[in-house]
Amino acid sequence: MAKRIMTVDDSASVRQMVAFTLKKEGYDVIEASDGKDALSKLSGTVDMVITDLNMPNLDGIGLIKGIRAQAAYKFIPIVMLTTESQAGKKAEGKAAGATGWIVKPFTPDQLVAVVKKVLR
Amino acid sequence: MELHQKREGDRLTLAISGKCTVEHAAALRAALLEAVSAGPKLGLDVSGVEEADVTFLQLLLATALTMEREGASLRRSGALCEAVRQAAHVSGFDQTPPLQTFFADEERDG
Amino acid sequence: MSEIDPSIAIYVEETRELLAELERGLLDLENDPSDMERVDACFRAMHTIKGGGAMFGFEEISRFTHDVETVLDRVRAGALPVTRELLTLTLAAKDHILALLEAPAEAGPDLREASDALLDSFAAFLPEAREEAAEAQASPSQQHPTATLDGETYACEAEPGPPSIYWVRFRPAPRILHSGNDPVRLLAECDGLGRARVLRHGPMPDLDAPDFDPEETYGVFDVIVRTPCGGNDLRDVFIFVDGDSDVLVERIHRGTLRDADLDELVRALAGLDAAPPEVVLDALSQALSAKLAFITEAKARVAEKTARLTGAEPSKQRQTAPSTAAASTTLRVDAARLDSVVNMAGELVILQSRLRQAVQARDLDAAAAVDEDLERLTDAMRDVALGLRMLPIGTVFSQFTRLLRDLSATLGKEVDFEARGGDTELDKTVIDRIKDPLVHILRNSLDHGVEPPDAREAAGKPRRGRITLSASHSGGNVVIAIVDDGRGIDVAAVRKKAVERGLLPADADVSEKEILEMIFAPGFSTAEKISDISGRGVGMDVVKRNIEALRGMVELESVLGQGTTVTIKLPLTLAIIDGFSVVVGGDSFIVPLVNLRGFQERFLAGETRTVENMERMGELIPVVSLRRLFDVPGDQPGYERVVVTEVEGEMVGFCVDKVVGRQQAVIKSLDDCYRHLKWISGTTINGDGSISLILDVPQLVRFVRGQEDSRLHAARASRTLTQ
Repeated sequence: MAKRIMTVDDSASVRQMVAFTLKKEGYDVIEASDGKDALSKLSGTVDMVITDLNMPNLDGIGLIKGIRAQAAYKFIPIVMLTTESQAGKKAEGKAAGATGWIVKPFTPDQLVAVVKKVLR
Repeated sequence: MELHQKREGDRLTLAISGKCTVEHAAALRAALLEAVSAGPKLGLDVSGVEEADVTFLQLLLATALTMEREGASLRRSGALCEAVRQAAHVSGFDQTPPLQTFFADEERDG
Repeated sequence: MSEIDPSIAIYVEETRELLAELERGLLDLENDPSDMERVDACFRAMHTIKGGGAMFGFEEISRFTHDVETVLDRVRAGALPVTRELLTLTLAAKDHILALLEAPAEAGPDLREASDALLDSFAAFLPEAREEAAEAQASPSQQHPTATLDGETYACEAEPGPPSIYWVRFRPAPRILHSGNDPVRLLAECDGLGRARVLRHGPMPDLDAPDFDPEETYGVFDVIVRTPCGGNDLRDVFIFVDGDSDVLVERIHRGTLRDADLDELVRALAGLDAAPPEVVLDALSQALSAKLAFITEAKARVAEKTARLTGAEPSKQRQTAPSTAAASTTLRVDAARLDSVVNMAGELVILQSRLRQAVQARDLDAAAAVDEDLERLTDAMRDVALGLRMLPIGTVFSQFTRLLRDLSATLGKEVDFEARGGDTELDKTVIDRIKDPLVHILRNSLDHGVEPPDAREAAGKPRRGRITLSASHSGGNVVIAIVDDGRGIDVAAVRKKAVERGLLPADADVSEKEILEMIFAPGFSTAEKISDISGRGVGMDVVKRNIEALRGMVELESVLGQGTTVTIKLPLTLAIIDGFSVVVGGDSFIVPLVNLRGFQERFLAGETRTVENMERMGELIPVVSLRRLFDVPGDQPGYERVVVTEVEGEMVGFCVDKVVGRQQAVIKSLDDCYRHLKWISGTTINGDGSISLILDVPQLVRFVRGQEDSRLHAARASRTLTQ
């Protein structure tokens, strides 16, 4: 069964790129436009989440905390997309329970490499 | 993760199959505790394990340690599936003294 | 990379939207610099533009936006205040990004220079010690299983060398699994980089230990790995967990070792799980030294033998330049609207099967029921389908805020601009085409309407003028009003000018309204001198023409000294009109419902003229015989119906043989060769396959107004139509 990955980003182009790349790799992809949307769509099997950090409504950090608070998703890989080079944001994400990160800009190959790295 | 107990006289075999990952670690620990307390002749059948992470290997090790303390030893029953073999190999669990025999010689009967 | 082309089109479109949003945000900030939420929104927009820029091949955008983003981030952090200067600069940056977005392929040197000039200005807002520290590519680099070039190891780049032996110590954080990382996975990855031997040691509680938490990770993993990859590749394996977990990567030997030697090294580590790194390294070097002679030999041998190991491949990640052309054809659609289309398509399928059953059963009642449902569904579907093309007019409005801001600065005027009803939706085509006329009207309002601050004060008005742009729905129309509180239009001056221009006889007896209408006449301009802002030779006549081309109407009202109101009425969509079907002889026509005011009937005796007068509610209104106007063959009946229409406050009747009823007409525009047919705005295909002509009522009314006795024109019209 194909693994299901949720991509969360307020930028449709990034979502599209992520979804397109992952679908081509044979993954199922769910898209969400911000943290709030993502939490509302989080049900059933979700094997991994890829989320932006800067988003309206509920940002990436809030989303990560929200996901980790649910027993079913306590251990799933969550990768944050960020252009922030500041250690602060990354550390905040890690403290919230993020598995890893991808620094934007990234190429489809880099994305796939990270997914393969963290997805069981 | 699925668990099945099979009893033949005083020999108890616990068959563990499916996804043996952290999500199921607490349940597996409870099952192992129960199996260990049932008697010294415990065998584990891990041939149906599809996925194993560090928690599974740690539970194997903890079980082996506990049984050693009781003067017994953990027996493997059934073949070693690739998922478990690979996980134990890359993490060194297969070379950990209490588990060395568990992971050794490929062929054995149930 | 051509596979991500669809994303590029979306990026371009998205960036346009973000830029519009950014501009709105910046202008709002001008009014309320303390609105941190706006600052945040502006930052986010810039952030997304930048991130996508590099990903979708707009490198110059990414380069340029970097500093702008940094500056906005500083504002967000409270390190910089929101100043007018900063806003102006950021607005300029927004324009520049748009230029970069629309520039073909690679940005030319001009654009790059423009970037640099703007970046210089932004530099003032950057921290003193401007750290050029490039963002570290923290994402793990792609793994090259055959990569052996390790800058540190090989003094001579051209010469391939043997692998190295590393010691990796990995002590997972107890709660590493809670971050979604699994030590076994990481170790497997490590194993994939070379030949690895692992010793797992350190604490492991008993199964029944009360403090044993099966979800936590215990112990230490010591790995001896022989790898052609560099130490950084090994460190990258643990990049996500480094910090929380202890990770140590040390090269203990340059050169290769046999598998058995690796086993020996691992054994040397036993019992050292709690030992500090120095102690472990010491133990390892002792174990190694025993093998030294052999190792030196092996090293030489391997260096000699190793065939040319492939070097790292040069990165092939060049993204193709995006084609901006594709972007203009995409339209973002509300997902809910798409859903309802899909739902309706489902209903349609059900109706179809019901219809088939009814037909098979020859059940007319059932068929009639289907017909009824189908009518309802078709109506709904039409609305939804048209809704797909609908966009809020606010997308254009926001551009005007900027326009007026810049213009008022140029003209030395002070003006508050307010746009209301931005969420009013209009057909995308209408929105695209209404922009220029609106710009023109707004320019006029600011240039000719709103007085300079001193003049306003002298007239007892507030120094700041006010221009309001509002949009609202009214029936099947959208009404856009541009209201200013300026000096108004001097009717006498307009009249004088109209006479001077020969547009009006000096002694003409015309109403004030008619004089104001002169402003829309070709070749009329009241501006005393041609300014940069308006009066560039494009007059209000063009505005009127453009609006009428959209089947809209424009009207002017003005009170001298108090201001001017321009009202534009636009149809919601250009694709479909609600009309009334009428018949003359064998021809059928559609009268647009927006113009329809009522029906009358009359009995005729004797010869009729093309244009006559008729009494309606105590007033005489002109009536046009469509039979004569279009030279429809057949006898004139003694009784006819008159369709009464209204355009710009004037009533005109059209004489027809029969009124059929209401009809929704899907407009098929006329081919170019029929464009000269002035009184027809299009055709539509009726249910029975015949064709109706859609009357261009405003044109017809104008014709009637100018040609009350128009035998000549009627004759010409009939000729053209019969060609």
